[in-house]
Amino acid sequence: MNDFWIITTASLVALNTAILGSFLIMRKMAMIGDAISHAVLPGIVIAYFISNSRASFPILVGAAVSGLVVTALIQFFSKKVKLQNDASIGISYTFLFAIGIILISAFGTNVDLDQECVLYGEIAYVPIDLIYWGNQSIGPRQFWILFSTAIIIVTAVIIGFRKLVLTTFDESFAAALGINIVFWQYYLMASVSLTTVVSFESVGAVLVIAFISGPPATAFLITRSFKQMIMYAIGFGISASILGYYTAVWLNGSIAGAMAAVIGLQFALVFSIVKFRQRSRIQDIPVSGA
Amino acid sequence: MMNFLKEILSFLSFSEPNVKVVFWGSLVLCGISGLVGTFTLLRKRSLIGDVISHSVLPGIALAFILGKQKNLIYLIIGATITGWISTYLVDYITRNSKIKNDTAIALILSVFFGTGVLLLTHIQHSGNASQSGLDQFIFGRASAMNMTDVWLFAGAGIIIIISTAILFRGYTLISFDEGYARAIGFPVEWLKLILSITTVITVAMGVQAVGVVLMSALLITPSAAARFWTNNIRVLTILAVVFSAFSGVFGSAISYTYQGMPTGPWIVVVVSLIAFISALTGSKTGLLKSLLLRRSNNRKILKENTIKIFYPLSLQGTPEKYYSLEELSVASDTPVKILSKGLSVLKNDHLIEGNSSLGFRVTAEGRRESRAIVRKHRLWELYISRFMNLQPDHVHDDAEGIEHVITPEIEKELEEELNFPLLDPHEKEIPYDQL
Amino acid sequence: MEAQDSSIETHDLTVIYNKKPAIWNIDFLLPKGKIIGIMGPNGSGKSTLLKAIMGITEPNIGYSKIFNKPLDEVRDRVSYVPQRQSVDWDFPASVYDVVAMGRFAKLGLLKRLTEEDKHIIKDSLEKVKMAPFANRQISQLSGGQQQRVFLARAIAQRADLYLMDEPFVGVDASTEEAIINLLKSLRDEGKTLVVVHHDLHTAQHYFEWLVMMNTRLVASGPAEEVFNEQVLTDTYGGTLTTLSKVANLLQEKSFPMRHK
Ligand SMILES: Nc1ncnc2c1ncn2[C@@H]1O[C@H](COP(=O)(O)OP(=O)(O)OP(=O)(O)O)[C@@H](O)[C@H]1O
Ligand SMILES: [Mg+2]
Repeated sequence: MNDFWIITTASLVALNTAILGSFLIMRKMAMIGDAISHAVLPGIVIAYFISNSRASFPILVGAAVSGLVVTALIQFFSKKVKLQNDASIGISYTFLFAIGIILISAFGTNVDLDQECVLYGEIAYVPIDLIYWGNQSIGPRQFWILFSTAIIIVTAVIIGFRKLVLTTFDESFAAALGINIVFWQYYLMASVSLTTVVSFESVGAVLVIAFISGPPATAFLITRSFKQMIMYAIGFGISASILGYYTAVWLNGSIAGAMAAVIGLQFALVFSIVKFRQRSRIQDIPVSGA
Repeated sequence: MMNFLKEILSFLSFSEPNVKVVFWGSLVLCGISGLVGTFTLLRKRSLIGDVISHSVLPGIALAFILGKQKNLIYLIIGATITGWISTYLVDYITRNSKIKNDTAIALILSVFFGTGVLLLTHIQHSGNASQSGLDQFIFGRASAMNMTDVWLFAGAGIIIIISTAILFRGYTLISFDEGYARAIGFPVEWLKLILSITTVITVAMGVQAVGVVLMSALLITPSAAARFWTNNIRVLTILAVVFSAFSGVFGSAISYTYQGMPTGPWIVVVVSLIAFISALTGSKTGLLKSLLLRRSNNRKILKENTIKIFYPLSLQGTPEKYYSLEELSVASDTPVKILSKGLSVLKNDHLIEGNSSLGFRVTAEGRRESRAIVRKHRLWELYISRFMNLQPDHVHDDAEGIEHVITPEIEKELEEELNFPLLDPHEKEIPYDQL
Repeated sequence: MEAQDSSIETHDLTVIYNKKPAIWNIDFLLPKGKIIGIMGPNGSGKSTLLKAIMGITEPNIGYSKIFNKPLDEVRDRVSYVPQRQSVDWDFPASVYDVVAMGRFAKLGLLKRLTEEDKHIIKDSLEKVKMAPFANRQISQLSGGQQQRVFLARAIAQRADLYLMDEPFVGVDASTEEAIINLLKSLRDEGKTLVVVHHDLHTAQHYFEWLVMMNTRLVASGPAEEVFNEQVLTDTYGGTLTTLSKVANLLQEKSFPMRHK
């Protein structure tokens, strides 16, 4: 049963991130996902500390605030003082992440958070933290949080699908149609922040990025339409969750780390197949021409 | 606070022998990172630094598994290998598929890091006794260094500094314009290779002090902070090294003084604060400077707009007449509040005389000023109506703004280009200074 | 020409990037039912002008009107064709998907494509001779084919005014001719076409009206009147030194162009 809950929880993370990651990588914003997933840390720690609990609501608020702070910092550096974009992202999120780690070290004994779990989560403990309906356990808390998030994200993306695709593919055409580019940008970023925060606790900051960038990138190599890309990405994400879990059991190592490794292997495999096919096709041409 | 300063001072006085190790260790490591990071920044590869620093982790773990112990040289070699592979992969994927650079970075960074974590936890769970201290690579612990380590870093540091000094011109050129460097026959591929190996080795050593997650900050932030002060690459490099070394010492002092505080985050916080302060006050793009500029601009605009009010008045009345605040306000259609602010500026500059009960009138210099600003306004109106294809009724607003920017040289150019015109597009006289 | 007969009216349109004007005081009226060329050297603000007219870039000063109305009231009558290089052609989509975007404005968020929409999309593809490629991945198109897909998307909007940013860049002579014939047939249906163009040799043959610009407006009028030695040197013969000095000063001293 533990296996089931861990894999299901990871699959929900995979589902959310595959959908949003597909948009992010087509918008060349994969690293913004990276920045947000690191930068929410101080907010989460402060919320832990103030509310003295793992209640989800204060943490969401705390994370949202630090998500806003990192966006503002990036804007400040790149727009106000004209620093190049990559450096603006780099400075801003390392700074916030560093503050988060310092806070953990300072309050570490009061809040039950430790430095490592921030990076690679504690998905192994998911099945222990159950919630109850009356006296009956209805499953792990993390599962239900991620499940509700998935409903929100899927609904949000279905409603906004057309506009999100249009603003992703051709921003100026979308603007010319009178679509509010900034609104849809924030719509997407809000969804990314939400997903990042709720996934953070189970899989940690770095695996969130692996899930955001990996399965969509693998899918992108082999798809013909954007909808298909999202579907494939979900498939790759979920299969990486399953394979990753058993790899971790086999190697007796971090589950999140193993999932990231499997995501990498999937990409490498698909990449090589695509390359191989291309090469043989290129060699075919003169033959068929002759 | 005093207590805190005392602690820092006691750190810097080297009263404990181990302090020396930590001091020199972080000084050297952070200093080199600042040096190498300058080129990372200039080549717009800041996030590649991020990839390398995350990707040294599996190398460290593998070196440990193969070497069966924590030997610094093995660890650095392992870290260098995987770190280098990661940058190679990012470039390879970007070049050979439709995957964009930022996606490749995010992918490689997280997959390598995840694999590293998998290996590290595997080692830890397999219960090898000497594994303790491996997780220090994630957040860094400068206090774990010993004197041998420092000598190793110093040796590598000297090689890096010398090679950078020799290749400085080449690095500068490939950062600025790779194509041009190639065209004039620089060995661009070699330079890039050496620079990237230097970067990877720097990162592999630097994770000792700040850990893999925050190492990229040590590459990016010092040079970005320095960027706010200078355009000169040499000065930029030196400043970056100074900022970085300072943060290194300061950060490790804090972590040394307070048990349980990780070094890396403190170093990063210190260097980030330097970057913020530089962004606000730096001499090049500083916000403070533009704030001051805006204030002086606004003062100039206010002054010139107010003195302009006296121009038509001095044409009709006798120049000796004093005008009351209300009269001026009506004549210029300006609210009294703004007007009195403007008048006080003028009085300060001796362009007008009088006071609120007596009224105000222009001095000789004030008259000259008022004619000058009207002249600039009308010259500009004429210029744009001629060269921007504008109807006479469209030129006024633009001239209202531009009249304040026109310098004496530009004024002279306008006069010459327009052939010393007498009338503006509205057929009004352009007032030249009587000689 | 009076404002009510104009297709586009700009009034002192000024766009400032990084405190420096990219277009400065552009003021003109363009006629309806004509093929209109916008010409000027690289970086002279042609794309910026189109974007400001379409509300994609907010003008810092001035305004523009389309068919004598604010843009928002007539948006469904205007179609914009961006520079081809402005999008990522690796995006996973087919030719048909892209042309279907031309119908999105009318469909809103969730409504599905109707039979009529599908007919319009097919018809637009046929007009640009891309019907056989409808299911082709856009990443597998040549430059000229990409341009035609963009045109088909614009045609699918069924607009009255088309603003096109450099539709002839990177297409071969026969595609260029096909495109210009298409534009002419649209013009014959009474539509207005505004085209950013680079080639001076063909300009006279393609356009009935010309706008010549170089940050500022140099000339706007019937092609045969505008196309003369003087205007060409004013447009391409280097920038006005005094004007660009003032522009640089604005930037250096971060001076506001308008205040109060
Ligand atoms: N988003 C932007 N931010 C800052 N500056 C910009 C931006 N877009 C354009 N510019 C600047 O504004 C000026 C005008 O650019 P624009 O693209 O409108 O020229 P263009 O006439 O279309 O040139 P081309 O013929 O090369 O397409 C250029 O100097 C350009 O560098
Ligand atoms: Mg252009």
